[in-house]
Amino acid sequence: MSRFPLPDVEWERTQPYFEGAVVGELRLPRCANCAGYNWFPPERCYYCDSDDLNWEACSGQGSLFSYTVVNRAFVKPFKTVTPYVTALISLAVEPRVRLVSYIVDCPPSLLEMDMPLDVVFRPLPFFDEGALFAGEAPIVVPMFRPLTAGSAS
Amino acid sequence: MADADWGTASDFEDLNGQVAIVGVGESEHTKASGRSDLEIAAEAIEKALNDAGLTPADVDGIMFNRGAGSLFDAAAFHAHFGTKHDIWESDRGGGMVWAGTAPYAAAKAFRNRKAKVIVNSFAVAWATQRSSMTGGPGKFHAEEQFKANLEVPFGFFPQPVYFASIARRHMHEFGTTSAQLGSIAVSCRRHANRHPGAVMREKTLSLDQYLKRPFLADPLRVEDCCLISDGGGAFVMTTAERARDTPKPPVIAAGVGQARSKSGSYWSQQPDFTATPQVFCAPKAFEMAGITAADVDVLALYDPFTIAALMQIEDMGFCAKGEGGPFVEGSRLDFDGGALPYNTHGGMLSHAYVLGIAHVIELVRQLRGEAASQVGNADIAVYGGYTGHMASTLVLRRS
Repeated sequence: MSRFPLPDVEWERTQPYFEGAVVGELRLPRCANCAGYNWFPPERCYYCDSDDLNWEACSGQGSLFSYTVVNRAFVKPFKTVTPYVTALISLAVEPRVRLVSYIVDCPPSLLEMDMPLDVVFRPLPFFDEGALFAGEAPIVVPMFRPLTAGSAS
Repeated sequence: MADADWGTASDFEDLNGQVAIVGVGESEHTKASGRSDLEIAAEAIEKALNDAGLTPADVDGIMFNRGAGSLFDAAAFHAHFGTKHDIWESDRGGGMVWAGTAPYAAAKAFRNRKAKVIVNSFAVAWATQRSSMTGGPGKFHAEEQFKANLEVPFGFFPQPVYFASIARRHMHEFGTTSAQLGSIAVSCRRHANRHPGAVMREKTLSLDQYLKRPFLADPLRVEDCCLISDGGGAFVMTTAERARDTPKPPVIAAGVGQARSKSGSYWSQQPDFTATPQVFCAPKAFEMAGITAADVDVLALYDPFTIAALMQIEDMGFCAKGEGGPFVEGSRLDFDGGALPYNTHGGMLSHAYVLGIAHVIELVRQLRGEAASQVGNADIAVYGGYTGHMASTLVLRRS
């Protein structure tokens, strides 16, 4: 059981995603048959129905498919986090993959739809000072920021 | 365009003309009432039976839903009404998409002689439950493990966040504006102001007021989102033949459809991000009823958010994809003179959050000519249900 709103990082269906983030890698299930990256992690490939899926590291470059600036906490644990930007990120290596994460290092007024982004690995904000899980060992996850000339990964 | 096969429609047999809705009833719609959803459902069922001129002993079929809201089954019926007879049960009823498909399940039960008079009901006490967090619309999503791991920790929760990101993409792809979304909210509020049972009966809303309101999750404002309220509704179905003896003019189910998205309830992963499964089921229901979108006199859509209504209007073929914004602009959804009278009771945005059952009830009243905001010469009415990864379409006509 996960502790809302924290992920259960040991759940086998998503475990490699969180393990990868700890070592600075974006890992996704990739199909050995058609080479497509799949998201959310399926039992069989969404594109060719093969069951030969393996987690692989991939480039974290992508683009801003959509986002919203959440101004009001809908549930208590987000009180210390708002306002925040949650987004859907379309990956460059596989535009059919749409990741869900925070956009960081960018004021909301500078966000533009389809803008290029790159992955960074940061602790979830619930471990910040004053937040619900402050003081506990933080969970590091992929987040995204605007891609700049110097940040190519 | 994304894959055309991101969803599928159910293969439904023809039900045109087989089922009639002969009674409707609603509870009071309120903020936290302290009542249980079963008490609320019972009130709605009593009113629906009265409306149909029937007694509890006449009811031999009952429909409800296990996923959300009241579970008013045969045992609950007997406990409330003090009856003992055999009652056929189906859990493929309630609100949401099932408010639209309940007549289909009823048609089967009538054909198979399982029942003659079926009551479908749905009620929620989510305004009461909200303070204790024991229920409510976000619960399912918080507990689903993929969402719990890959969406919730990233702030993609609850539903207003999903639909805010969908609205932004719709704006980006098609040029939809805040004022166009606001037009939907304003029409619904105007209708609610005229409806005696609406939660927002006393509170007016102009487009100027809408545009000055702060964003909850941009581009959505509070006014783009449904209410949370306690309330319920029920409708009584029987065969078209039996319906000839009921006091009110029966309303006939003419077409029905149901469809689902293959990406399930993961809105974030739906390939065609700015569409609903209405694209798959509305054409089937219209074909069964022998109508086109142009024949529809009054429309009621499951409207958790303005953008969810806008997408369904496009997906059901009332306008081309992407042209929903201009289509709803101004007062084009108003009951009096609008191009497409829509949610004439106020919908979930302004009437009550009873997840679609009040929509079907309102359409029945429209076709009987007894609605608070009556559309002139209403012969054909359509309900569009849209819940998670599913959509349903129900075409109703005057008998």
